[in-house]
Amino acid sequence: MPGEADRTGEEKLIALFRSTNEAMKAESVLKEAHLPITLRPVPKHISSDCGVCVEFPPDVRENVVLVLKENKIQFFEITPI
Amino acid sequence: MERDELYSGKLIYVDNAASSWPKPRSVIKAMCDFMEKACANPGRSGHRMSIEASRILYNTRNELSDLLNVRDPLRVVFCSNATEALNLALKGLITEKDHVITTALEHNSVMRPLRELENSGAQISILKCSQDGIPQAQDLENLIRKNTKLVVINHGSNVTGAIAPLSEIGKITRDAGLLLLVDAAQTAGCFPIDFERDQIDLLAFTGHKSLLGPQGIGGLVIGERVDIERLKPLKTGGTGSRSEYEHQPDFLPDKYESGTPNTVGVAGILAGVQFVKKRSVESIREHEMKLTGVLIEGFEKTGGVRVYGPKSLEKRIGIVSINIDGMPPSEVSFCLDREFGILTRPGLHCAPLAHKTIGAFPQGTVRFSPGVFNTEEEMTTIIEAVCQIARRG
Repeated sequence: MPGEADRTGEEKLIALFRSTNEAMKAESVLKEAHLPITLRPVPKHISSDCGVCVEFPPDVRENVVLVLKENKIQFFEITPI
Repeated sequence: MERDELYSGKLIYVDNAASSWPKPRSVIKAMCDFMEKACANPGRSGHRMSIEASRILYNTRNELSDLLNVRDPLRVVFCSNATEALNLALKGLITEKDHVITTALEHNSVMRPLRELENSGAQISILKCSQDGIPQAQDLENLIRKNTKLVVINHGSNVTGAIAPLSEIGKITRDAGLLLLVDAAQTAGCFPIDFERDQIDLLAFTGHKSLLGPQGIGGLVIGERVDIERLKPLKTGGTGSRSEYEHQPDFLPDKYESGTPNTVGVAGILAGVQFVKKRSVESIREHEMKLTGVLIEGFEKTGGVRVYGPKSLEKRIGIVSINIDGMPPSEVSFCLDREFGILTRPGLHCAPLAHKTIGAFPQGTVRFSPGVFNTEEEMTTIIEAVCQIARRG
């Protein structure tokens, strides 16, 4: 949904993973770290794949990356939506 | 309480080593809830029901990792049963140039894939066991060859109930730089397992025995020492990931989980594992071994009854195999069912070599396997019934 950021007026970032299984692990460890993240479908303009991704506000980007790396979860992109 | 609701009539079910029964009420409820409320395809869509189904898979991997002390939940791969998990490990790893060491206690779920691999050129050695069914770990080193790749052992014998000396075998295997595959079909959920401490590299489990879940679901834990580039999948196909590519994903667990999974079965395992963790593996073991002790003591006092397996309860899980002099196991088992409502398993229990080891081939044994819901009173009834049958024999 490309219009979402415009509608809310707030920029959001998403982290993309190789699989739903990895996205599930990401959701679990990020929530354990009390980070404000939401699981959502990958926007169609970003990938044609049918998976899900993790959405979060830009100010927690560093923490998100840190927790993912600590848990050895591969993400191949962090991008604005 | 749960048991009384489920039992019909006065059955005494002691065939938990084949499939545990009854199941905790929470297992049945979790499966019904999934079918009613979240029965979408996990990993295939991004809507809330699909995500919920994916969460059930992840939460189950997570609970199993906690139970077995596995570091990364994504290393738990779901299969249809322990047999499929063992086939994946053996056929995925072993080539015609490799040598494999196994024990004389293996179930056919290990022996048959190994014999098939042997027909294609692989070499197999069998570690001998004592007559009470314990693999002799001190002989393992002598069997290792230059091309040995893997040691595969049955953690708890489904015939004798004997427990293999896992940490001893794990140490020898790790020191020699080999991989260790453990068949935990009879032990996961009723005997403490520590994937890291016991130096396990691959572990096959099933959902429908001591994890108290449904049939048709099990899995393989793949440790960090296993090179997944060299572990071929048994099947390839849709995974929901990397859909734009025509090649199989090369990462865990997707590489080994093609096709829509048995999510309702996984939901059942999840509730089963939670039940086990709430009671604790240690207290379940204590309960089952108390019942096993009562059975063994009672049988040993009964004339004409031969009890197989280790004398010490510490070296056993809750399985007691016996024979009554002059009576085929199938006849004893049939009498127990028809006249007393006692449900057991007779025969070879899919493990012919184990019976040769203990001297019960080809007739087999009558096997009693009490579970978490059995009572001491039931064990007394069983002993009386066996006494009556033995007197006739």
